[in-house]
Amino acid sequence: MAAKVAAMAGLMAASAAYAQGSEARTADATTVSKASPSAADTHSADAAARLADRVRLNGMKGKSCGCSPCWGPPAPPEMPTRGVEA
Amino acid sequence: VSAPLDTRSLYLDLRSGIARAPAVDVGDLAAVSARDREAALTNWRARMVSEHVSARVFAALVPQLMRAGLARKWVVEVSAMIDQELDHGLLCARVLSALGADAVAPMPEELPEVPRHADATPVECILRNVISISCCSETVAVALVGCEREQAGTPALRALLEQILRDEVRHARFGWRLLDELAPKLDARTRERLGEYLVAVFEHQIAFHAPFLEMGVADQPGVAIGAPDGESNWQIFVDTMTRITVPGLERQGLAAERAWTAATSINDA
Repeated sequence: MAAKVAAMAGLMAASAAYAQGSEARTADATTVSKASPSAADTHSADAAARLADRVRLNGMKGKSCGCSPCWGPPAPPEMPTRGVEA
Repeated sequence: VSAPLDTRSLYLDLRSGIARAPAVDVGDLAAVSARDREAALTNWRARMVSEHVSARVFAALVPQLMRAGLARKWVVEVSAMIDQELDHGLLCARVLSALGADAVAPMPEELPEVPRHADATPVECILRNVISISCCSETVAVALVGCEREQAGTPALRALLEQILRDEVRHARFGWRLLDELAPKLDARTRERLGEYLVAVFEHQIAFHAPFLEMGVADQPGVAIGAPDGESNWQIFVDTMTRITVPGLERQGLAAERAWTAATSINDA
């Protein structure tokens, strides 16, 4: 339970970081805090579990800078060749 | 005569950088299992390196901002972020030291360059990189650090995490504000290309955060000193992407929902 509360606090912090400085975004970001906790939790847990299964199934490994997934941003990816031509 | 420099030995050694800094009170470690203590050490050591080397990511943005002809204020902000990341490396080193380890770690074998995106205009180039760095990585980092701050075991550790969090918030906001300014001026073709690029960004984010799935779940005393709860961290990553980043990019007229669906449909085709 403490971990869930802490996780929600983290999400709220990210939501605030997104929202600061823009009234429109503030209104948008409040949906994070106002979402029905049980419905939102169930939906997001399902989504995270499904994605985790796919990642494991495909044997995806961290491939950015050799670090574990820390707070420092990795270098962004290149535009893949499948992308739209400029 | 000093020993010759071993040019093959690539270590990050921050011991001298923290020699005069006060010790961080991490609390009584007796309640922490040996497994979780080791996990905490591994985590802080990796963070020390990650924060330190991420200074280069912001450094690379400086010429890109200039090339795009953006206002001086953006360059000044990003320049400050270089120092902030280096400072975070020292803060992580202090925790590592408080936990009983030397603030020394191998450097990553590879340090990928920040792409110059030769196929894009200077403005599109900076937007691609800032979306990846600020709107994704740093926004997720805010959620992760914010979560860990709530679980910090001592006021000193909480204060240290608070300091890192303040900067991470700045780094995330930077990208969202830049997008606010530039996105309304983009033509349809640029938006389309950015939408294509988002698939690569999201795939990259998923791969970068995938190691959370292999990490254990520490007990509460371990989490209080920074041992990872991989399961919870993965959930926070997915929640941040789906509830903040993707809707935020959509609001700017970028096809983020479609990109997230494509990125998460791994091998569905």
